[in-house]
Amino acid sequence: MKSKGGILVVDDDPDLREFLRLMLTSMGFEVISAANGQEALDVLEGHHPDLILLDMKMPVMNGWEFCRAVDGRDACPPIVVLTAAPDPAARAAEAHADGWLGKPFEYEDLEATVRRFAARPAR
Amino acid sequence: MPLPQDWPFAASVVATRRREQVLFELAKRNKADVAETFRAITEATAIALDVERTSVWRLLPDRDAIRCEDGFVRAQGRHKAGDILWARDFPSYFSAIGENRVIAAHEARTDARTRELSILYLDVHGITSMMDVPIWHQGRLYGVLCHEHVGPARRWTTDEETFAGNLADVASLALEEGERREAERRWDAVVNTIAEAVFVLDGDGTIVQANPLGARIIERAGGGLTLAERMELVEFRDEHGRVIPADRTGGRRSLRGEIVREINQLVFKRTGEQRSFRITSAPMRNGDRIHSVVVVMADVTEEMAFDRLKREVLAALAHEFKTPVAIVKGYAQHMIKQPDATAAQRPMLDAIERASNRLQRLIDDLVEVSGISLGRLVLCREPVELTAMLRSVVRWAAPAATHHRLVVNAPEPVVVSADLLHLEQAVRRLVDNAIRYSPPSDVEINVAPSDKFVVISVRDRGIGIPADQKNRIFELFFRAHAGTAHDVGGLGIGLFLAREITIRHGGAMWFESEEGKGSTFYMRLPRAEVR
Repeated sequence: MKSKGGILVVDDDPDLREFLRLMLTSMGFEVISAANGQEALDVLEGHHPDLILLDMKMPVMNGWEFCRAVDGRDACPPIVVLTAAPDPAARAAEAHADGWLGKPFEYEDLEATVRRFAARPAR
Repeated sequence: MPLPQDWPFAASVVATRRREQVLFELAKRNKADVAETFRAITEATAIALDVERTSVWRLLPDRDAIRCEDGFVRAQGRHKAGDILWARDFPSYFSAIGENRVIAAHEARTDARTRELSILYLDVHGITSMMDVPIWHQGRLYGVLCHEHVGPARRWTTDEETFAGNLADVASLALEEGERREAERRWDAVVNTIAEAVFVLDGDGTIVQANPLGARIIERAGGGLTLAERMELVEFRDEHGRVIPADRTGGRRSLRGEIVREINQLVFKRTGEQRSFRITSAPMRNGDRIHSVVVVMADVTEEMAFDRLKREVLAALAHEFKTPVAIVKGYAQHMIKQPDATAAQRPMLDAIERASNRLQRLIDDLVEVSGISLGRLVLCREPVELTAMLRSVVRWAAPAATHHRLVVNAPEPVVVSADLLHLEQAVRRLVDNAIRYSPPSDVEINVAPSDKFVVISVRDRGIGIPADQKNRIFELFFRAHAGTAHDVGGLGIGLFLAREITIRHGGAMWFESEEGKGSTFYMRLPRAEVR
């Protein structure tokens, strides 16, 4: 039986992971992090988050590869790609992701995007 | 055998025939070697006219001397050249030459034109009669063909004069031919040494001439002289990598009258090798008819690869900057919101946010520049109403324009087919510049529609652009006021981008500027029908 909820942050930059963890917890979310696509797949084995925030350029397994790996899976959480590429919307569409955030992003945009997909846990 | 009664007449017929034969032989010769032709002429005329000494003299450029280019002495059977006669020594002779007519001096020692030659020249060689005919070249007197008779004085006949004149004409032809050959040799040397491949294509697209570099390309392709063969062996691609069909190659288009300048990628199918060439092709006309095409190709593979590398590096760098900026900016924004941030910390956090915003803008600029120059800009056209777009630009600029009044003059709604995001970007750049490079004053944004076009102009009353920098203003990374008191920073990207975006929309950008008075930038866009 998988545990449920929270946001899975996948980024190879530890500082950005930490930043996102801090921001998202301050917004009231629970956060799990992974350093690349492979680690994220491992996390998904035992947990079903509400949302995945996914960096695209990562070692071991990058964002596109991760998206391909989970594409078509039943009950895969929605994916929002985090990308520094010039045309983030197109990148997101290519990867069949559900949304995108261009780096660097505004605090407000982060919050608004995340809220569209993930609910805060009831206390 | 008894001589016929009219033998002097018969002799003259024989002589005439012989002269005709000589002329015919000379005319047939290849006359490209001028010295060789002169030798043939002096020998031929010596024998045909039965003259002891014959020679070709050239009038030197200052016209103050003549130099013997070739002299033939029959008794010795030898040619000699190099003697010089000066005008100051023989003024009458030179003025006679200057009259450009035949000098037929039957009695050379007493003839007014030639007698001054007696002691120094005629007596030395035993010359009694002289006949000089002018040689023409390029509409000017080149020199004279001299006949110097040794022995009892002789009367030159009209026939002989005519014959000598004909030989002088042969000499003129030789000079012309030699000059043409020399020009050809020089041209060949140029074509053979330049760093470009040169081809001449006939009306069917067949290569009929190529310089050595061109020949090497043909060799690399494994042939391809005819168009059909060439299209089999080589694939032509345009700058965006699209295959160019046979009838759209530069050569074919030039055959239809176009002058084509473009960069093509050539894929040599035999080896798979791929190289980029800057190709220029132009029609060669004969009257109205285009009979062939000249194609010049410069290999720019390395140049293009380096250029691309530069832009790739730029794009990668910009990309790598984004994550750290996201962290800095994100924390600053977060901390400003914290209730326990102190009054002393707040201005610092604001400064961090502003600085990271500036960094972000620079990075965006770099990304956009590299995107545009890598050809990654794809326009998403939609109907764009310009007045609304300009108001949006003004709203965007307002926070920075605290000391400026932004005025939009648009007489009527004008709709163009454009990529709103990029077009607005382009106008923003113009307005941003107008604000940054002018003291507190009005910045006017005007819309002037006509039938086919609409011109958006942005006018400031600022410092203007120095005259000596006007033609560089649209260059990438060029900043007119760099290092001056007016330097307000930036990368020198704005105008480059604005113009590129305008051009991609099928428009044009230009400006008027006077130092100290201000600048007006114009953006002209086509008013395409909007469905």
